[in-house]
Amino acid sequence: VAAETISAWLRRGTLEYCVLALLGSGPRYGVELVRELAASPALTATEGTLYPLLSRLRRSGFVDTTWQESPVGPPRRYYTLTAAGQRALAEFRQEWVPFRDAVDHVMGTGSP
Amino acid sequence: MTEQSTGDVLVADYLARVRRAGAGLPPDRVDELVEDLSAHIAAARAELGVETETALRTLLDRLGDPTAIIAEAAVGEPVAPPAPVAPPRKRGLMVTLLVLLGVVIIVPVLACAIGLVAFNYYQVGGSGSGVVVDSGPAPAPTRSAPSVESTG
Repeated sequence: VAAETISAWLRRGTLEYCVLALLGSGPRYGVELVRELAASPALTATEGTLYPLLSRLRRSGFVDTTWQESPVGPPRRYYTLTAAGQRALAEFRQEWVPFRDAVDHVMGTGSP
Repeated sequence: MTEQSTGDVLVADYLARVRRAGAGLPPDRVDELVEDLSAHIAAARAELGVETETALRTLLDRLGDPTAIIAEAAVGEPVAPPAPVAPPRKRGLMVTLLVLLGVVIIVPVLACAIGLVAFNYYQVGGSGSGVVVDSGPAPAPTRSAPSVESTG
């Protein structure tokens, strides 16, 4: 199995919540949000692949979008976290810690 | 001026590749994706300041391969929607057909039964003539009809 495939598998189910976590600290417009995530190569393959993910989050009601005027170009689509998104994020944080610890324990990758 | 139009061509070509790659997806999904990507490109271009072809190519490279974006868009989409959707629809059709069949059978049977009952009624009450007027007064002579009518 290629390393790329493994990271793609690991991203499934976690990257969505990374987006929610970023939006938890404040609304962002598409380019801003996508570039912030793509800055971590471990999290994102390319910037473009984040848009289908954002679309899914919008359809699930976890994020909302509003168009706002931009000082330098066309209007920007801002993404905000909804109350449902906040709940989902809180649930993920609760699940994530024991999950990460358990995997680290079995893999022997935990910090000593 | 020529730089600008070259840029527009590059962008149009990129979005066309997204559309081609997304031919197997629901059209409204692809429309939404193309709208998101063009908004991204427009915003990022506006932030470039001086737009060069190289800068624009870098911008599109960072967005990535259209087929990879479409592959991500296909996640969670029912890959073969006809398979799971079709059986319930067929079952629904079967139920409708059975109901129709039931109606088709029950209605004539009921109609026959009603017809038979009515026919018997006429036979008994109307002494064979079957004229509607006959069946009405027919029971009257058996009772003492004139006395009832005189009191009323």
